[in-house]
Amino acid sequence: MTLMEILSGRSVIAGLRGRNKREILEELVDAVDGDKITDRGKVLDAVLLREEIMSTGIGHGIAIPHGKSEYVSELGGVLGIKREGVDFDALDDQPTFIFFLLVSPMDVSGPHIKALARISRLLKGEAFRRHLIESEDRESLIACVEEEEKHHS
Amino acid sequence: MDVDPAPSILTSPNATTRFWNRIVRFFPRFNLSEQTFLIGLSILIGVGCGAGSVLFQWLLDAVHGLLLVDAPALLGNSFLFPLIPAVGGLAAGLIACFYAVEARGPGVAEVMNAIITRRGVIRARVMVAKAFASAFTLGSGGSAGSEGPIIQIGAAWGSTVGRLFRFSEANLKTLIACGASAGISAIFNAPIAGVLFSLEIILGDFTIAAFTPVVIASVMSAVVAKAYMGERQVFEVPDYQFVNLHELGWYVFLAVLAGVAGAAFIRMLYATEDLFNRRAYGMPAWLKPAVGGALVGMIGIGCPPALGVGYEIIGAALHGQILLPTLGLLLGLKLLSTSLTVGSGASGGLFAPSLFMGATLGGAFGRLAATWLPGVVSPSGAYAVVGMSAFVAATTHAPLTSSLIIVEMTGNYRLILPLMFATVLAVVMARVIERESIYSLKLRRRGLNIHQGRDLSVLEKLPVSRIVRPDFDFIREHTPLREIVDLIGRSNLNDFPVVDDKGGFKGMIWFHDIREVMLEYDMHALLIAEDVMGKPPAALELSSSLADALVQFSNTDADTLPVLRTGSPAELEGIITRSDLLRSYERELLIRGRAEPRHRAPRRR
Repeated sequence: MTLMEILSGRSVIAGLRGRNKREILEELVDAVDGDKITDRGKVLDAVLLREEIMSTGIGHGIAIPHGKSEYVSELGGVLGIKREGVDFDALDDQPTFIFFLLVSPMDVSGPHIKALARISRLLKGEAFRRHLIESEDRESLIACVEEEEKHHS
Repeated sequence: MDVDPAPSILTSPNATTRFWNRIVRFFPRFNLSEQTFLIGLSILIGVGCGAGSVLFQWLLDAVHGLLLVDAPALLGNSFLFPLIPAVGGLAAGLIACFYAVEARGPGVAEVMNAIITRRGVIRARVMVAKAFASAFTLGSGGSAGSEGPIIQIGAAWGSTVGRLFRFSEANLKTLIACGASAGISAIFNAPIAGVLFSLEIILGDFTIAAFTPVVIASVMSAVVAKAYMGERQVFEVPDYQFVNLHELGWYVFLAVLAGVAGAAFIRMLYATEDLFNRRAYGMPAWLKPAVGGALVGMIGIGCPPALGVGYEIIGAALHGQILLPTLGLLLGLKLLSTSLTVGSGASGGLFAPSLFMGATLGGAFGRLAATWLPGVVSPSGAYAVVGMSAFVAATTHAPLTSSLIIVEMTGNYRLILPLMFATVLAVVMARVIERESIYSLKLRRRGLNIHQGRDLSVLEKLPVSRIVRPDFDFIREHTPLREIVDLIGRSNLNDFPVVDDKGGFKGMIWFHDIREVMLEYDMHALLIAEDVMGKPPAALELSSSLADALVQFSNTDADTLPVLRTGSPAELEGIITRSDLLRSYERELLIRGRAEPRHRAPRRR
């Protein structure tokens, strides 16, 4: 499974506008492909709830918020970059720049876990992270991701 | 090394057992693998069966002479004739009741039963019991065959020898197959069919490991039998040929008829058995075959050829020497008399009657066809040959064995094309009407539901509560992956239920799902139990059957499943594991089969 399969055209954001955790998450959930969600409000609640249990800011400027909901019909992802950084309660107490949201239907664990694993693996690369932050617009972000995917086939 | 406490098959004191154990332990010195030893034993079994079948034939002839030649002469009045099969049936009934209950009935089903539920254990006394019970049944005019008995006797011999040498369960089954194939091989002079029968019907699978010893036993048995009884072609048939290709269509028609008739025979046989068993009229078990015999005897007064094994009639039908009305009458009466003999619990095989009915059916069809249907050039005897194969296959659901046995018995290969075709079609037709074969139906009726060699009915009767573990390791839903990995390291289970902070069931964490992420260190901080859990497809409760649980295990490929409270699916009663389920199944088999404990293979130094 590649990341491009989960992302779609609209769900890549080069410049997030949110100024705090909640706004960022709202923005990310809004960007999920409309075909994959049946109720955005409920899905946002699930993601926020999950975030409250344990922060998904895993450090190194990365956060991977995720949630499972019955109002999600298909696995969906959103990649968002905030060049200025945001406080996301990260493990290393540093600001977070790169956000990958993953929403998944209920009772499905296999593909969900695989996707999270792949995201994590790709984001380990420091060069990749820098390129992502430096990308100016959606197209260059997508190109950057596709390039990196080739190295992790 | 401790003395093997397995009970001896000889009813003798411990000294003998200890002595024998020393002998058994002598063999491993030669560093023989159990397989090599097996092949050596297969020779012994083959020779034993060959000799045994000669003895059995002698016994049969002796009883026959006594009851059907001397006795009627003494009786004089032919209306007293039914007494003779009644006496034969009585003897068979008494033997089955008081000496060995396995001796009742056809025999092949008992062998299958021993393999599937009794770990390959057939008591030595079955050899004696079956020989005498069958000799009395057949020798007094009972309508059955001698093949089933010889198969069971051969199988008993194989099992006895195997247990004498402390073979493992798997090899014991192979030795049984050796005995069965040797029996058929000797009686019919059909070594190939003997091998196929064992592999196709008794063992139910063709593995190379089983093939070699079974072939050896079969050949040795045929050799011994040939030495005593000379070169025999069981049936001499004219050199029928398949000349007019259009006749294939008519052979197909015959196949359909044979399929229907075969299924009808199976139904009638068991309907008669039901008549004698379930609406028993309070009759004691040993009396039933006597009653059956008496009824058969009455048929015999009117139509003597419907009695006994019937090889002469088969031979005549194969030569096209019997007229249509007679053929029809014989077919119907044989159906009735066989059902009465075997259904009432006397001892005899179903093969010879099937040959009889197949030959008369085929012959009748051939005669009809010659008169009424266009393009028929083959004599009715050819149809009789094909009819035999088709009918036998329709009852046994073993087309390969049936075709080959007929070819071997008649020596006629030229009809192989319509014969094989008709045989296979007849099986298809028969299965449409009755899914079970004549043997498996018997087992099915006893409550055995055989699914891939495992007895599902055992599991259907056991509830999940038997194996549920009320104490188990669980994971709270917000537990981070890091701690889950620790738990897996400490626990001896692989899958865990996930609960909320009130202890309510939320889902399962399956090891094979999280295997990938377990080693991703970054994920340890990212994921919690809730993120990685899944749900089992259907809820198991304490009252669910182990059969349902087994299905769940197969579907999810899990090692552990949750058991939830009835009506309250969020409450966990406990968990069950796959290994506990299988252990429970084995234990139950031991209890039900009253089988002897496992025998160990001779140990290597």
